[in-house]
Amino acid sequence: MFALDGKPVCGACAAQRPAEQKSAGEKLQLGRIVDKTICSVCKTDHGDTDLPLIGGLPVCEACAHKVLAWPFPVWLKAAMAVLLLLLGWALWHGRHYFPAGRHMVLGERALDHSDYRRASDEFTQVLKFRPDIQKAILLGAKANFLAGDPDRAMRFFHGSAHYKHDALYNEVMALFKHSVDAVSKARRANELDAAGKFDEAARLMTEAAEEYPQSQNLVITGQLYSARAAFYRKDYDAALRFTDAAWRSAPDDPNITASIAAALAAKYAVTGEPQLRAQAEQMLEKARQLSDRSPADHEAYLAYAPRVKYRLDSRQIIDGAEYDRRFGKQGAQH
Amino acid sequence: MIPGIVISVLTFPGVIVHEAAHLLFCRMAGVAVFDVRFFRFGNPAGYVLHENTADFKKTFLITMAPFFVNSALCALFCSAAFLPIWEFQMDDPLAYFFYWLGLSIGMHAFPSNQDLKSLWRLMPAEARKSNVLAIASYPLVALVYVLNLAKFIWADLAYGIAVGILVPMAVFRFLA
Repeated sequence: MFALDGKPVCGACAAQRPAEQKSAGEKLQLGRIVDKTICSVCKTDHGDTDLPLIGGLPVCEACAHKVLAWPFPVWLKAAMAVLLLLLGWALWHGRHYFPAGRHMVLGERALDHSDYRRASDEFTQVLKFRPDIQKAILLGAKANFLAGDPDRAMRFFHGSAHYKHDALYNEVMALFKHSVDAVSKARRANELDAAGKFDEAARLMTEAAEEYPQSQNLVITGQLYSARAAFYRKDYDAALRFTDAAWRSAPDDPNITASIAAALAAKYAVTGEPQLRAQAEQMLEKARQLSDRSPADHEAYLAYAPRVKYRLDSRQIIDGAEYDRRFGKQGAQH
Repeated sequence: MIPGIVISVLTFPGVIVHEAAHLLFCRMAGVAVFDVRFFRFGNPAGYVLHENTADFKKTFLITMAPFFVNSALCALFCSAAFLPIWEFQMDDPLAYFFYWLGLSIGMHAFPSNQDLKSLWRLMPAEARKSNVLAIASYPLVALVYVLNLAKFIWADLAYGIAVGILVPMAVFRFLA
């Protein structure tokens, strides 16, 4: 029952009449009539006896306990128990994934910090869990492409033959294409260098390095090829500049250190400035120390050191071939 | 448009957990409950009819109970299934089942606007009394209210997915 402006009305009228009156410009006060003798829960009519109010509604004694502590049905308790068991099962089921997921996160973090070697190792760990996880394959390959190691990058692709073509896939494929094109140009540059076409070789190797700048090897080789080409053009300033750029990228490489010594010696031969000679001797000594680390480097040092010393002592600039012709074959350093 | 009843049926675990959370907190707060439907084929798909209390803390807990309980369960279930589905993109049917369960529960995290109105009515007076919970409730209640209104553009599903992706992602990134 409802009260409309104080008059009792049924449910249907309570729903209909206020709207009619409103459209006619009148506003009615609508409220629910609570019969305090009828229990709000079980609807039992208790005659003339007013029931106690709980939360503003009349509730009989039998229902009062239920209202104040509404019972959880047995099926609900069972369902909640099943839900908790399912949650336990889900976490148990997921336990295999968690270590692999951790390696994935650490790999991505290392990749973000340009720590490509660490990233590669982490993604390798993920693939030990399952070798066909595309994201780990692609990120592992990406880490190695960015590290300038395309051979190692390609090894990541062995785990799967089919890939979903998403943004990461396209990014890695672009890196792959750049690396392939660059390696192809570098091979051609090597052939030109072997044929004595130093300017063309230097240009092509520089193009290869620009195509795939992540490869430190290509960048340094491009600089050394440019230095060699400059040397044969007798542009010793440029030769020194290119060699110096390469040496700054790999200061612990004994061969590049020796190349710096050779370039400084060439400039000394032209200018006669004692300071240049001192620098050349200093770099040659550094190259000797660095070459002690491996027998191959030491052998190379023994081949080029006499030529650099000859250049410093005689102030004559001759290439490796001419040196070998005069004094016997000892190496191919300019 | 997919009828609400179809969504309720497809995500029935969430409806049940939602109402169970309301009931649990009614009982914990000692608030009288007059009727409960954990699931039905209708609108609303479930309800808990309880007394209105002037105690703000009790009203807040009862109103927001599904928001916290459903969100937490959603995050837990989805965390267990997040790696195979989102990170590794593997075909693991069990993981998909757990993810459906998590999403179903997460989708029903929002308290109804009716519940929010009861809470909203008490908030200004409590805020004037420097009740920290009431002050902190303003952005939360406003957010849930807006999300409730945006249900027709699947805000509830978006919320479930957001909890099911962002929370596990944050947890794994924090723990790794």
